[in-house]
Amino acid sequence: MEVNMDRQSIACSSVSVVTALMALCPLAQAAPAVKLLTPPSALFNFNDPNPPYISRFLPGQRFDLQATILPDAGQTIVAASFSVDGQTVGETSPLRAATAAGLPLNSVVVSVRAYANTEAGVHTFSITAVQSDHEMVTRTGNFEIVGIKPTGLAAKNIILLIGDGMGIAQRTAARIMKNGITMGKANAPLAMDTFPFTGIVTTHSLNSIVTDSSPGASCYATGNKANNNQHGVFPDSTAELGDNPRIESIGEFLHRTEGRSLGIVTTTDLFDSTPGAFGSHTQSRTAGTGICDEFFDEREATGLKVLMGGGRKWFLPNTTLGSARAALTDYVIPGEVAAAWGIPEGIIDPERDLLGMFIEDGFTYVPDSTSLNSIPDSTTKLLGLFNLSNMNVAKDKIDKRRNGGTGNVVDAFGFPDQPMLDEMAEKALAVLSKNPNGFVVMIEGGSIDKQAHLMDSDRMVLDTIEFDRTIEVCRQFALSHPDTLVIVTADHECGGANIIGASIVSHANLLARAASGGGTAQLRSGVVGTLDAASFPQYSLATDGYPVTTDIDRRMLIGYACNADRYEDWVTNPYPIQNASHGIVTTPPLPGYPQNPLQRDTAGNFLVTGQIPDSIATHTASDIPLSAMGRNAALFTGVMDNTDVFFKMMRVALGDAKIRQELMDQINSH
Amino acid sequence: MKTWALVALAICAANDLGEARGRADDRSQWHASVEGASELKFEEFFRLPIGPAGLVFTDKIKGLDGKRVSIVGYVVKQERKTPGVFLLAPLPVELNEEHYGLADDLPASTLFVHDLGVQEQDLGKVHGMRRVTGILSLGNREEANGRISAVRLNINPVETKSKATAVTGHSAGGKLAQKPNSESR
Repeated sequence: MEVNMDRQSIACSSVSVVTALMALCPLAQAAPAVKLLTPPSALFNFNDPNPPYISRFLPGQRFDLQATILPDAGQTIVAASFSVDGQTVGETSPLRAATAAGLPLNSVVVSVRAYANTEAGVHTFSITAVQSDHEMVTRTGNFEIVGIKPTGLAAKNIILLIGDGMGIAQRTAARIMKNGITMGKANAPLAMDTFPFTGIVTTHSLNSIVTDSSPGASCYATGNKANNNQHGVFPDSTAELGDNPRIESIGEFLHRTEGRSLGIVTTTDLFDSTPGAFGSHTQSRTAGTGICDEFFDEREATGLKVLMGGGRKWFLPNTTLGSARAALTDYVIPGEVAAAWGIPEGIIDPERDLLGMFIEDGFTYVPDSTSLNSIPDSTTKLLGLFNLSNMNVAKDKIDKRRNGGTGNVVDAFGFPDQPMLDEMAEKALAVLSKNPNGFVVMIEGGSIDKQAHLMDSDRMVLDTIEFDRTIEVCRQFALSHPDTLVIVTADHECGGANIIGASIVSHANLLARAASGGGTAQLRSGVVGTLDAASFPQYSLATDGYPVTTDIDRRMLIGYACNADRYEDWVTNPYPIQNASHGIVTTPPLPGYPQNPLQRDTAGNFLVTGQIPDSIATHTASDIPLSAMGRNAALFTGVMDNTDVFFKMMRVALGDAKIRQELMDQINSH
Repeated sequence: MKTWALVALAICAANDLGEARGRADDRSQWHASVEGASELKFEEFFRLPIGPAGLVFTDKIKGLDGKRVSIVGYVVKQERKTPGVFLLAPLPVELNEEHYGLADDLPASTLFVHDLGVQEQDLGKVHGMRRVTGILSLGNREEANGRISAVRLNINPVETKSKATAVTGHSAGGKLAQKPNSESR
């Protein structure tokens, strides 16, 4: 909602007016207050000017300045302006009403849109506002421009692989299951283990020690912290979804400045937080219609050329059966934002045929694995929508390929021919590498997280193996394209998952115990082997690269520290937890699909009491591992904040001349 | 007391009798047919497998458009309730609209049950698996709450009054899931 400034006695946005009014101000009895000032800073929030600086940007990276101003009762804000380092900047956009709940009705938001600063160093910025009785306020924050001198050897291609929810334990479990351990040594490394440089990443979001996936991805996409549930933006004081202060993303920056392409590939619904953070800006990660519309509407700004995953329901007009497009999850962007950023305003149009628009724009559309495998070599733009919502997980896709027929899980969900993530990645790299200027691609193993939430250990580990096979595809690409940087990391850990040991009984014995209903006495005592008793579980791989079975004798056992109540029998679950998002399931009563972890594995009567008041496990604040290979990958060592990853990637992408000297200094210091 | 409220109370009482995990004898009750109504299953809504674009109605459901049908499903637990409408799904679903809005785990095959007798306060009392009977109508339509319905069941108010259990309750085999799957995590 925009404030009608005609009602104001003095026009806003004029620095001269502000200055004149300031001169008229009497000694303050009361004054307007600044509730929120972005970019966020400890200087504004805590009057602390010292590092770490909360908000950082590349030289020339665009972002919005914004303040929420609360005038005294009965007063209105009549003028406001921003300055950076004491110099007035930009043209202040029209005042907007601060419509967030709990704010006085006369509260307003003032912005300078798409601001950029090219001078490296710490900058202070201030908002000065004057209310109708001439009382004024000035508040100050700071931000840093990270210096990059782009005269060195650049990496043309950036491949960022995100294992959603993949902590260190998920990696370890995948290594044990895929390759095995002999006398204490891994029989072979995972593909990600072969990367020569490793670091540790902290994952906290702007408003919590525990991040969700939106800020967990936004930090890599923009270099800045975000509030939980938001990506590509800083928080604001309005209820509208599309007007938050924006931060230019990696795709937008590299396309605008270098002409590079963007790819987004995931196993989840495409509107989900991680893919969404690389192609949209929103204060609500749940606005699926708008997020998917933004992928298309802003493709000229991002250079989007490859988009693959689930989420077809957002691409079908609401007149088509299976569509989920609705006005309430759609988006509009204020004219001032659209004009400043050079993007369309967006429109509430649930009837839009988004799939048709992509095709009309020249995207090759593939609805299944067969069509993906047969795309012509000439393909330059690729859209893959392989499920109505999240794609089925690796175990269920592999079971279909092994068993054939029509009685598999993927058949029940209606999508029997879904590709594996490594197959999607191979095609994505083939299409994106046609751009001589290079590309950035985010490839997500999205259901590692979702299965950790559900405490379905085998599906979680098998999805990690699928992700590792994808990493190998990217590693091979980098070996043949040495101007490529490959990063493997996560957005956060999920579940507090860890390997607690191994079963000390055969699978047949475990089944008997699970059927006995004996609870703890049968399924904990005499089963859970810790320390020496765990020994070395030995899985065997089939030719497709996945274990022949996860139900081996003396199997690996996984527990969860951030768990909800669940029944556990340690046996591989034949069915996934019901995922209604896939649309069609079957008629009730469902043939074995558990409703939640408390409805699964109940026969054994072994209840593991959770520590959180929820029906599923959730994220932890644990640090996560990062592995890097390729051009200047040596930068990615040590313990780093998740926003550091963005700046390191961009230094490599832009060829920061200082990298070589820094690496030499590191070597010499040791 | 309104008919619906009586039904809701009966349903709550039935819930108390239920064991948490489904039993075969309960399931036989769910499949009891209703006189004068065609039996419909959720899996009969759309053709499988799904093609390259949207969903396609099956011939069976198209043949039942405008006719009286009966179906068993789970009452969707909603934070935002709409008087006169409740949702029936092929599996237990809890919607957290206050947090997730319309981005949810609601199946495409969800049935929108229109019953003018349903009040907001009544909806909070209804849980679990239910059989509903009414007149079927097909085709995408935006509902008052902003959702898109493809399949609706209109419970005739007259019928509701004459039949004490237009919505009949059987033990659903436990509570609704506390939260849908983690699509939004």
